[in-house]
Amino acid sequence: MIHTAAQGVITGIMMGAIYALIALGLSIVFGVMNVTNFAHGDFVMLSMYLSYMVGSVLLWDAVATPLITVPILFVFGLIVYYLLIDRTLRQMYVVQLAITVGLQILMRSAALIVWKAQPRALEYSFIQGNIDIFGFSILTSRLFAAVVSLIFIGLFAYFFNKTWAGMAMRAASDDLDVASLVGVNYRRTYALTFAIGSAMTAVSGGLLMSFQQTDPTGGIRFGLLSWCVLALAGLGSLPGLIVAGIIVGIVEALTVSFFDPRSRLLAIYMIFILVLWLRPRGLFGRR
Amino acid sequence: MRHNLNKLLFVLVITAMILTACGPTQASIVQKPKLPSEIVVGVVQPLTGTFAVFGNEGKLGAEMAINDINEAGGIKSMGGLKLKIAVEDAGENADSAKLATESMISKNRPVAILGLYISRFVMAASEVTDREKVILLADALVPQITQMGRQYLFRPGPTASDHGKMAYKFVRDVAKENNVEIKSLAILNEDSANGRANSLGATESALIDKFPIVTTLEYPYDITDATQIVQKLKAVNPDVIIHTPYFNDAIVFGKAFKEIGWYPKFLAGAGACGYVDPQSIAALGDAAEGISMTFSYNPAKKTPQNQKFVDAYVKAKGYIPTEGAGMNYYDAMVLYEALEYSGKNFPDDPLNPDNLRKSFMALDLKSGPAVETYPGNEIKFNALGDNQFPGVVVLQVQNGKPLTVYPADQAEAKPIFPNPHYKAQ
Repeated sequence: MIHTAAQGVITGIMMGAIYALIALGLSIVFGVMNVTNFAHGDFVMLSMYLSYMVGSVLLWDAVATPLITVPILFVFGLIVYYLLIDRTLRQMYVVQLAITVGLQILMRSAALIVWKAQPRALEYSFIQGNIDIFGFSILTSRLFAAVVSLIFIGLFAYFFNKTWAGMAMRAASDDLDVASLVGVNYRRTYALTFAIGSAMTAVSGGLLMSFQQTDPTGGIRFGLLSWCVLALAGLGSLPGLIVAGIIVGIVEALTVSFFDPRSRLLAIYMIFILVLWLRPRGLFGRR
Repeated sequence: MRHNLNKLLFVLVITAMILTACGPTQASIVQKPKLPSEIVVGVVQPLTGTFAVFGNEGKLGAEMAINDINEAGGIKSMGGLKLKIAVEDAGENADSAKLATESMISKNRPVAILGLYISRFVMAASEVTDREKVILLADALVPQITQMGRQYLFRPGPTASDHGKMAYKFVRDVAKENNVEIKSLAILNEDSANGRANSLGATESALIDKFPIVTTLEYPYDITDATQIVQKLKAVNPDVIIHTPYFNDAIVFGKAFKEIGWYPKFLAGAGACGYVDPQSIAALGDAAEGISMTFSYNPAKKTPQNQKFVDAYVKAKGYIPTEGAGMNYYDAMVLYEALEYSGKNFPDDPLNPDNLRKSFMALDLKSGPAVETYPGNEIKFNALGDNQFPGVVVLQVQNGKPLTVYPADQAEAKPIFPNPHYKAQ
C-alpha cells in the first residue's frame, strides 16, 4: 500500500513537471496577452506529429527533434498571431474565442487529412528504460523529460525576468497602455509571446514522443490538461505552475494506482472544478 | 318464350363462370418485376474522422470483392447481372452513421448495405435498414447488435465474445503444446462495449476451465500513459494477459511493457484491433514481437479466391489485407451467394427484400468464394442473423510480420511461446 503510493508519487512528480511545461505556453499567452487559446492542445498535437516526421525521416531520436521543430513552431506561432490573433485583440472577447476554437478544428482536420486517423509513434528512444531504486521503478524517459522540462521552465523564467524582451512582455501584461507609452511595441511583443508559447509546445512535443504516440484528437487531452494546470496555478507564478503540474500528476498517478484507471480524468477535473469554485485565481495567482 | 329467355340466361351465366375459372388469375396478371440493369450495393463506412482507417480498408475490401464478382460474370442466376457500388461516409458518430444510411437508401435504393464497422453505428443504422427493408451485412463485433430483433441484419463474421474465447483457447492449447506451465490469467480491456464483450468471452472460457483469473482491469481507450497499469499488472505477476485494446492504446501498452521491461509469459490480444496491424508494428518495432491477436479474417488461408484477394490487396496497399478489408470482402461474397440463391429460387422477384432475406436464411455454404475467404469452413445464419460457425484465427508478430499461427489447420507458422521478451522472475 505505502509502496504503491510512493511509486505513484514518484511517477506523478515526473509527469507533473512535463505537464507544467505543456501548460507553460498557454500560461504565457493567457497571462501576457489575455488571449484564451483553445487551440493550445492542438499546438502540442502538431508538435508531436512534426516530431514524428523529423524522427522518422531523418532517423533522429524523439528528444533531438525539437532542434528542428522549435523553429518551425516559432514561425508557425508568428504566422498564426499576425493572421488571426492580432485581428481579434480589439474585438469582442467572443470573437477571440471563436477564432481559437476555429483554429483548433482546422488543425485537427488538417492533421486528419495529412496523417490520417492513425496513431503515430516513434519506435524507440534512447532515453527509454527503467531504473530500480529501493524497489521503486523510475522510468528514465519520464525522468529525462521532467528534468528537461524544469530546465526549460527555468530558462524561460530567466528570459522573462532578466531580458529586455521579457520585461517588455511583463510590462505589456501589467498595463498595455503604460507599456506602449514607454516604448514597448505591443504588436511585436505579443507576436514574440505567442511565438514563444508555440515554440514551447515543440519542446514538450519532442519529449512526449519519446514515450507516447500522437493522433489527431490528442489536442483535446493536452488542451484540457493545460487549462486544469493553469487554473490550479493561477497566473503569474512559474514555480506555481510547476507545483500545480506536480499536483495534477500525483493525483492522476494515485487515482490510477488505487482506483479505476477510468477515473483519472474525473480526478483531474474534480481539481479543476474545486479550484474554480473555491479559489478562482488559483493557488499561486497574482491576479 | 319466357322459358327460352331463362334458359339462355342460365347458359350465359354458366359460360361466364367457366370462362372466369379458366381465365388468368389475379396473381398471374400482375407483371413480373423487371430486373434493373445493375444491382446497387451500398457501402457505408466511416471514411473520415477517427475511425477512417478501418472504414477505408473495409471499403477497399468491398470494392475488390465486387470487382471480382463482376469479372467472374456477375449474378449468373439473374442473367449475369452486374453489381454496382455506391459509397457513403458514416462519419464519426452514430447519428451521422444513421443519416448516411438514410441518404444511401433514398439516393441509391441498394439491395444491401455493407459495413458500418463500429457497433454503435450498426445499431443506429440497422434501425433504418430494417424500416426500409434493406439487407445490412455488418462487420462489427459486439454481440448485442444482432440481439435487437432486426430482421434484415446479418453478420457473417464472428462476435467479440468469439474473439475472447479464441484468445483464451489459443493460450491454453499452445502453452500445453510447448510444455509451458501457466497458472494465472489477467484480463485487460478498453472500456467500450467491444472491449468488454471480448473480455467476457475470455472470462467465460477461463471460468469453465476453472482457470484462475487474478485481476481484471478496464481503462479508457484514449489512454496516453499505461505505465501505471503495467506496474499494477507487474505487481500481480500473471502468467498470461489477455488484452483487448482498441488501436492507439495497443501502442501505449506495447511501449509501457517495453519500457518497464516486464512481460508476462504470454501477452495475447483479443478483438482484432492493434498490435499486429502494420501501423502498430511500425510504431512498436521490437516491442510488438511475439504478441498475438485474434482476427476475423485469415490472410494466410490457402484458397484460390483468398490468394487472388491477398495479391490484389498487397498490390494496392503494399501490405496484406487487414481485418476490416477481409471482413468486407467475404461479406460481399456472402451477398453474392445470397443473390445467386435468390435468382434460382425466387426467379419471379429475386431482389425483393423478403426473398433476399429468405435466401440469406437458407444459405449453408461449405464451398465457394465466401467460404474460401472466410476464416472458418462453413457459413450458415441462425435466427439472429449471426453465423452459426464463426471463424476466428490468431496472428502473431514474428520477425516484424503478422503471421497466422492458430488454429493449426489454418496456420502458416508455428506459434512462439512464451513471449520472446519474457524473463523468468
